[in-house]
Amino acid sequence: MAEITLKVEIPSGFEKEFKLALAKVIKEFSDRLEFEIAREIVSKSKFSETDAEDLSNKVKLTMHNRLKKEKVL
Amino acid sequence: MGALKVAIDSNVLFRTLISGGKILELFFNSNLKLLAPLRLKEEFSNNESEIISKSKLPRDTLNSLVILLFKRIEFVPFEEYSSFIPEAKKLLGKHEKDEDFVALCLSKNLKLWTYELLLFEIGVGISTKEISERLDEL
Repeated sequence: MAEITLKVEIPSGFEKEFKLALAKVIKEFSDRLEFEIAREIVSKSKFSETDAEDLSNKVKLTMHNRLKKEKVL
Repeated sequence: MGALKVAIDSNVLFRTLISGGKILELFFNSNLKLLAPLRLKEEFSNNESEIISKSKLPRDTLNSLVILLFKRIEFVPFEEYSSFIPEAKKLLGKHEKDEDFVALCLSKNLKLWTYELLLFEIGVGISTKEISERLDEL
């Protein structure tokens, strides 16, 4: 797997603050990175609003029928 | 101020597959915590072939996207909200197909991110616009 190594100088006396800030920045960076990958994939999708509604209704109906079958309703 | 926590409707999950929408951006906002019935995850996977056919995305690419999307959602087992099904059914009346989602919201005291008008009328729904505005305030 490809790897990126980043070296950062930590100002002395700020190790604890740096750790906390770094954790926050890495989380935001990771979220942003995953969003960009997802956006790139979705940009090639031909899925439409009608497709979303149709599949959503189909899935809800299946879930509802499952409840009926399990005699929860 | 803490993160905003909402449950998501299936119509929101499927809309993440539409190119150029606002939903995907919100989905990856670190201040937004998403919950959904575990059964939604199962049913999404059961319809994979239809999703591939409609999106025209290669299977591997769709799978990578689904991994990223599902990482953002806490899937809740049915047992955790099943006792709220009767109350959800009562609220929904004839529109009973939404009971899993409404029961989950009642059990966790959450709003449901949705595009179903009825769910706004019964006070359960929260819109994309409202979520966006609430996140801007955080």
